[in-house]
Amino acid sequence: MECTPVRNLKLDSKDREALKTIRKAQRNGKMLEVVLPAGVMASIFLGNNRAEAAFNIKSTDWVRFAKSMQAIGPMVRKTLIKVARMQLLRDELSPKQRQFWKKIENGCEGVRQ
Amino acid sequence: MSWLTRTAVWICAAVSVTPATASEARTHLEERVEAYEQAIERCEQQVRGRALPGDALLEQLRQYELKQVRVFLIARAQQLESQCERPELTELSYAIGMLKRLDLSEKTAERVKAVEDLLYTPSPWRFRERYESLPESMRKALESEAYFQDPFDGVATLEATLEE
Repeated sequence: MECTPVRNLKLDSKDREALKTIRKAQRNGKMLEVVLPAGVMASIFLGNNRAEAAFNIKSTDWVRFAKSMQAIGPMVRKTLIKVARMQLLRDELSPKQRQFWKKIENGCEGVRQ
Repeated sequence: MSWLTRTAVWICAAVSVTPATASEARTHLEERVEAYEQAIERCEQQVRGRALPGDALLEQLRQYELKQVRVFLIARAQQLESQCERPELTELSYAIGMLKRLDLSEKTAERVKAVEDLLYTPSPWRFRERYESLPESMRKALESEAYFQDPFDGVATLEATLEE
């Protein structure tokens, strides 16, 4: 999967719930805080975003995120992937939401290989 | 100590996973965590090593509704990955269960809680629930395909199914 940008991504309440599950699951290890560089992905995964916030994720953000996924422990990574897969089961996702969770689940080309 | 008592103690020591001290408890937990993490990586590797299904199977998937194919591929892939990791996950879960019966140090108790938070998310039930909502005939037909009996990349297969 290529590291294509996702512009004007709007997350809904179920997405935010999913992000909360990720934060809760890894809070004791605080692994994401340690490995995720500051930027839009840190803001999505670690921040307390307002409901209406829209995000622009650049290709470089995806590359850095995919590298962070390799740096975190396999158990935390697995939790993130499971949560992303659960989101991908939703029928009502917008194409941008689906693109977002797909990239969380599978990284982008060449990075997680 | 009688022979019988000595033997009983030896057998218990040999088969028990209950560590005797706080330090042993922590070490035991970390060993089980490490083994489980290795299993995760082993199963991920197995998925990465597999080619996508052939055209005939992709065509078979296209005969079903997209919503159903999506659930089948993602939930089945998740199920097979869990099966792949099961021996190590079972060991880790068992170790956690045993450790929780001991008087652990604060640090070890925190670590046990952190591991539990990562292991026991509600998702396995949700995957199962969605999977079982699929028509039985569909599940049976696709599960009988050799490709869907070993861990595979569900999302990549879904993408391939969508490309005609």
